[in-house]
Amino acid sequence: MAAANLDRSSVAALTGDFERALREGPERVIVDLGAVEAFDSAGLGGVVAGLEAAKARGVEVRLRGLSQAMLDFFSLVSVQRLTASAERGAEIGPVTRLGEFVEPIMDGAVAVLATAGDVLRELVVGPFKRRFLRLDRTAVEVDHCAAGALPIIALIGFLLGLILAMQAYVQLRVFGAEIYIANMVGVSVLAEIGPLMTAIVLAARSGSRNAAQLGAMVVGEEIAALEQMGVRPLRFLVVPKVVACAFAALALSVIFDVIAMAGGALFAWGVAGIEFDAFAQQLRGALHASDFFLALIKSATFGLAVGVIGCALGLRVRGGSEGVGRATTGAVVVGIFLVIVIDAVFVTAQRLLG
Amino acid sequence: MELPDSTFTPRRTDDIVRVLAVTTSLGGRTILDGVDLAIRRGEVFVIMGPSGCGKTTLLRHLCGLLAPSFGSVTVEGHDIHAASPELLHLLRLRTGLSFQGGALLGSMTVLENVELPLRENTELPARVIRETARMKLDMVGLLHAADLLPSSLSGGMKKRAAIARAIALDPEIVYFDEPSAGLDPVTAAEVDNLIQKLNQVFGITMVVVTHDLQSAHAIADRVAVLHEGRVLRCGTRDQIWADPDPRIRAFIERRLPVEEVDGMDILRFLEI
Ligand SMILES: Nc1ncnc2c1ncn2[C@@H]1O[C@H](COP(=O)(O)OP(=O)(O)OP(=O)(O)O)[C@@H](O)[C@H]1O
Ligand SMILES: [Mg+2]
Repeated sequence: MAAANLDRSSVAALTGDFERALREGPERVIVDLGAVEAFDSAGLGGVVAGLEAAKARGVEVRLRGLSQAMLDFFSLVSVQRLTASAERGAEIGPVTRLGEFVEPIMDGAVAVLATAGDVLRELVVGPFKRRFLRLDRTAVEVDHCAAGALPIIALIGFLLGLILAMQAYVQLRVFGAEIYIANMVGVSVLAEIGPLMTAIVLAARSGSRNAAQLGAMVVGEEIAALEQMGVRPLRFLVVPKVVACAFAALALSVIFDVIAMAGGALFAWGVAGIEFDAFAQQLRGALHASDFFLALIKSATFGLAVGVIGCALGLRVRGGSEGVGRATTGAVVVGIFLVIVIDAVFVTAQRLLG
Repeated sequence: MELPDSTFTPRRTDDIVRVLAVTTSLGGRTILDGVDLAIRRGEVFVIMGPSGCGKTTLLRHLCGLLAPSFGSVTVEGHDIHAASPELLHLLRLRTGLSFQGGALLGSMTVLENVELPLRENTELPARVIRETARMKLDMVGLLHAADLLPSSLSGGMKKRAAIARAIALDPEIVYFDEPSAGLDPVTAAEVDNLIQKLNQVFGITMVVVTHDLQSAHAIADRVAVLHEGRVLRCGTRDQIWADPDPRIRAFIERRLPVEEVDGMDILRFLEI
């Protein structure tokens, strides 16, 4: 088998021929390259691929007619090293595969719990060792997490308030009970939609940011440099970010609640003709202070979870930009998932306790 | 705030750093395989070796950033990988590390980067911190770039900023990971000069990883040559430069080692 050129354009056909020859199960194949006029790396790559395939099948290969130029090329590489992988190829069992799937998840969960523990310890025990929260660093983070999210939170809050009121109105109009728009909007926003929506926005904006930022800092050895300078990344970076997330969740959910209820009231006034005073009166009757406090606790917990997950995943980034991307996705997906789980725990506990 | 020297007692030894049988496996590969070293107080110690032989990994062990799989690193008489967090912190304040890639904090200006170790670890007034940091920047010839962000520095400027940050706290011992790689010859000579000056004036122990033979020859008191995860030879500069071992000769004379020409194994596949 000979072609005038052994290069990018002809190599695919040649390796095809060779594999077919191998499949017939010969003991020995002789490849004559004597007629080759010009070659390139891809062409010789095809030759090495052939040697590798032959080795894997236990077929002996002999090369014939290599030009001096080809020999010079091959003096730069070691065929031994290149074909070494053909000898291995152990079958990956289902248990190994399951392990490969489960292990990173377990590692991630352990990392998140460890970070949560570290942050809590720093917040609780730190002050006794005269290590207080870094207010300067926290302020920077709050500025991003809370102040930066204000416009989008206000917009979503207002629109959702309108939508909920509209949904309620369609149902309640049948019974002439339009005034209950206030109850439906107020209760659902305060108990569920406010904390959930702020946590989701926070996970998307700040959880991802924290993971990407810390991940890039790991890759650029900035974290190692901080440690080396005697600056603990936990206190300098992680705790401020987590505290800022908790604070942002708290503050933003209150703002969300207020704006959403205002949106509901606007709809009720504009479409159902309910005066603002009446709407407010009705709201006061529907909402209790205990609901309000519970919602605040829930929001703060959501914020802590989002903050811890973003930081934990960011800090355990390995392997360059690919790892940073994975951590960022993980921070949003796992963050939102965990928020829902925590919400379920809260609701269940609330039902069980009273 | 912890203050540096209040509770720390260096144990007086001639060797400021001792490395004993340090062995490291990363990702299933053995990188270092029983490295023994002793670095003397006040010397310029150069670590040489081919790319990928584990020099950066060794420096991470020396700084306590990465624990070896086996073996120990003793700094000022204290085992750095068995130290309590408080002791480790104090040991770190006495060491500076200039990273191979700089590792400057991207969100801060060059000046803020150099100020950071001072701000975080001392109670000095902001004015003094600022001037100290500017002084260190001037030493590495970067005063004009003080207010730039690291992203707008060239590779060589990053490296020099990292050196300024490493010496910010006037450490006892400074590790340099390839300080002159990527610098033009004149700047590289300036960095060499800086390393020597700091060594002579302040008696700082300098541990320099480098490929640059010229600069190694210019600054080294003693040299260790790493090869395949082991210390091939450790001795004074002149001993190393006169060593007959072909692998060391190859390195120092920049030629191909004879036994390395293993590429011709295509011959085994030729029909004879
Ligand atoms: N986190 C890691 N996981 C797996 N292998 C690693 C890791 N870090 C380094 N290595 C490997 O360890 C070896 C030594 O790396 P190291 O960075 O210490 O080399 P080096 O001597 O500093 O090289 P250079 O002179 O090019 O900087 C390399 O072969 C590298 O592939
Ligand atoms: Mg290196």
